Amino acid sequence: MKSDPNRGWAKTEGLSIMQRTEPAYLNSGKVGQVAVSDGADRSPSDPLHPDVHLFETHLGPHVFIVNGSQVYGLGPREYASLSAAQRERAEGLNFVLKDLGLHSPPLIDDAPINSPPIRALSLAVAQACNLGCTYCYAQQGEFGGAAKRMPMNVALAAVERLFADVKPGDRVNLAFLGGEPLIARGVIQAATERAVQLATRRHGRVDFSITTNGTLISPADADFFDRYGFAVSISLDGVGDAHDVQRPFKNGRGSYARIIANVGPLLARQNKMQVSARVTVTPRNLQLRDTLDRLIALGFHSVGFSPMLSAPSGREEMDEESLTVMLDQMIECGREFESRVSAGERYPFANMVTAMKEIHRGTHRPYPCGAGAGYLGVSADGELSACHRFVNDGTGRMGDLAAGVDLVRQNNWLAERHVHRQEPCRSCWARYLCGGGCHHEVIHRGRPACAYIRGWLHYCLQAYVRLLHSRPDYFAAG
Amino acid sequence: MKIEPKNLSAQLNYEARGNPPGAHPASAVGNFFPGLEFNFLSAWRRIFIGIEINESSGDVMAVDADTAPAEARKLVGFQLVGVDVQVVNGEVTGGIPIQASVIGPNQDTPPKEAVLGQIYLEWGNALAKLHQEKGGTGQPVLCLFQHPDTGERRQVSLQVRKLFEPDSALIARTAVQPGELTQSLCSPWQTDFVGCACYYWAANRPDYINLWDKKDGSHGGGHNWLNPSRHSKLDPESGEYKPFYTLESAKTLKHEDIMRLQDWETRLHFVIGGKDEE
Repeated sequence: MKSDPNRGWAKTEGLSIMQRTEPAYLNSGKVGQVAVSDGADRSPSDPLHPDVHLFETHLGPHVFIVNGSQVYGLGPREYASLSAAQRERAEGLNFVLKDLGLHSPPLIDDAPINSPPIRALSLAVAQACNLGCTYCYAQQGEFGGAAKRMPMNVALAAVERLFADVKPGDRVNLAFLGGEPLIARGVIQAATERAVQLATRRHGRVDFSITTNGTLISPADADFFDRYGFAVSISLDGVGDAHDVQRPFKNGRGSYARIIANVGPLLARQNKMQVSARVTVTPRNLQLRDTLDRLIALGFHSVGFSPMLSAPSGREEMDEESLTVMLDQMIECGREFESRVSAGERYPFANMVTAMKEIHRGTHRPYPCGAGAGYLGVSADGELSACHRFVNDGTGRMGDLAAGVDLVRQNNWLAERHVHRQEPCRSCWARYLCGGGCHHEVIHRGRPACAYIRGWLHYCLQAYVRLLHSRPDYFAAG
Repeated sequence: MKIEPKNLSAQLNYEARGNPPGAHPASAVGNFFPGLEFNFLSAWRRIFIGIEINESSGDVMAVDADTAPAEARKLVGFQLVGVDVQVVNGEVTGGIPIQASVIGPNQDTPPKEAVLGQIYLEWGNALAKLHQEKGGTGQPVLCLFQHPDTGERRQVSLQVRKLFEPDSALIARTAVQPGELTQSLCSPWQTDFVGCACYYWAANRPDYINLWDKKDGSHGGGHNWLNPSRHSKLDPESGEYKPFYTLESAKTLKHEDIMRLQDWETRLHFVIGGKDEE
């Protein structure tokens, strides 16, 4: 059975709704900018009011109610009164919302979640890598320290920890990352098999995922991944040279040809496993539409894009201009998705698939992801951190396997990272879709991509309305 | 006014004009008393093919010209007063009574008990057996109607509709229109509160719980939810004490128990997924 390409908390990095893009205004000369009557240059996705966001489609005006991420179609009169009210402060808008039946008690309050149970762990089984990607958050795999492999006893202890609180029917996720995790193949296999044993014993369920650069995958790995239904995420930054420029071997040689030779057999036999491509977007590989189609043609179960916002080296980070181009490209991909899905075809553009699902459901959350909550990273030394990116990084430290989760640090993290504590998020209509942005990127670089994120979400809201109209069956399937 | 809830959270949260707060999932009665959020009585409105009857008064509200027999076409305004009646020597007799006589003192001196009138109870329940036997079979059932003002009576042969989809517990689409099941609700407020909160067991909750199977997969037994103590009996096959069902009145909770006891919270068990909550 093919399930959601983005299943599993650990592998949502780069695919979650908030990290995707947004819109540019399509009929505008300058992407993302249109002139309004007051003469100011303003994008239709810019935040006017923290509680509502109005948007137009050929099906009429709509409103996105921030509380509960609700989408409504409006008549002209309702649109006019909301449009006027959103320029006022909260009281005036609340009055209009109540009058229209669009007001409901706040669904997210200021209270952080407290000591949540662990539902996903990622194991940095190898803090080493054979590639030398310039932008790597793990600094070529070693996280700024010495190259390490996770000892077997640490990996098995992590698996035990993951299952410590599992009750019958619970579902957990075990992810393998690095560095390049397949450097430590034996640890992956042993941890996977132990997890299956524990899941059986406790009547729970475990899903597996791995994020790999694809250069070390063997036919036996394919058997193994398929047997255990892995979600395999291959880091690919384009096709051919586009990829090789950004993701060379440490000796400078390109890695694309090797990866494709290795991955081909996996793509051909996705029975229980799913193989997706994850593209890190830098100012050097902005041809997303071409990349998307070519990777889909190779047979990936899904293809997703994520902008490079924070690199320890400072290299390849996206600037405002590049993000504007990326947004334009993302929307072009989104338009193709709309066209294909409307025609009843499969078009596995992961960012769009995720966005449509989340908007349809009305997902609203005070955090961007499960990092530091139900999801933690485990370093090769057995240290726990908020996620796989915080290895050797004290800002995300969460205790260690021996002593358990440091609840004081965890709960402080959850209190501080709540989107109501973030600026300028508190005044942004996209805050419960975005959750404030990737903690790691925000802590290390700030929020340089808000206009991009809002632009993408604005486009996605429009696309949702169009698709719901043209293909209600796409959403009926759940 | 034109507002269209599009996504799922909008559909859940929208407060449509005219709807009471209880129409919201968060404040709906079914949130506290599952089963009370809809009223199955609505399904009885179309128990007879071709006519629609008010589920509480028995008044014929509408006739479907396409499916009603010719003699039923002018029944609007009449009331259903007898079902499955026979005509013997020109007299209507027998059948299933769907009204009850209201008996009370009249104004004679001294007052005497007398029949003061007829009242409809939950007449649908009275027809359950008939539905089971004849629903969907096409067999005619002779029904008696009477006009409340003129007293005129009419006998009409009608077919009994099957209220469920074939081989299913789903209520038939032909029996109720969208929205009808929730047009009337049980009202567990005010004086009914204790009865509903503590004693009422909605139709969609199990009254046979904690079920267990024998080793061969056949059904072993279970508990009556009304037993304050969950009785067990030795199962010779497994050598273990297993849930045992009893209707013995001494072992069954009664309404007075609820009204008198101060500790009903501890005597009643929450049942989740057919099992006592742990």
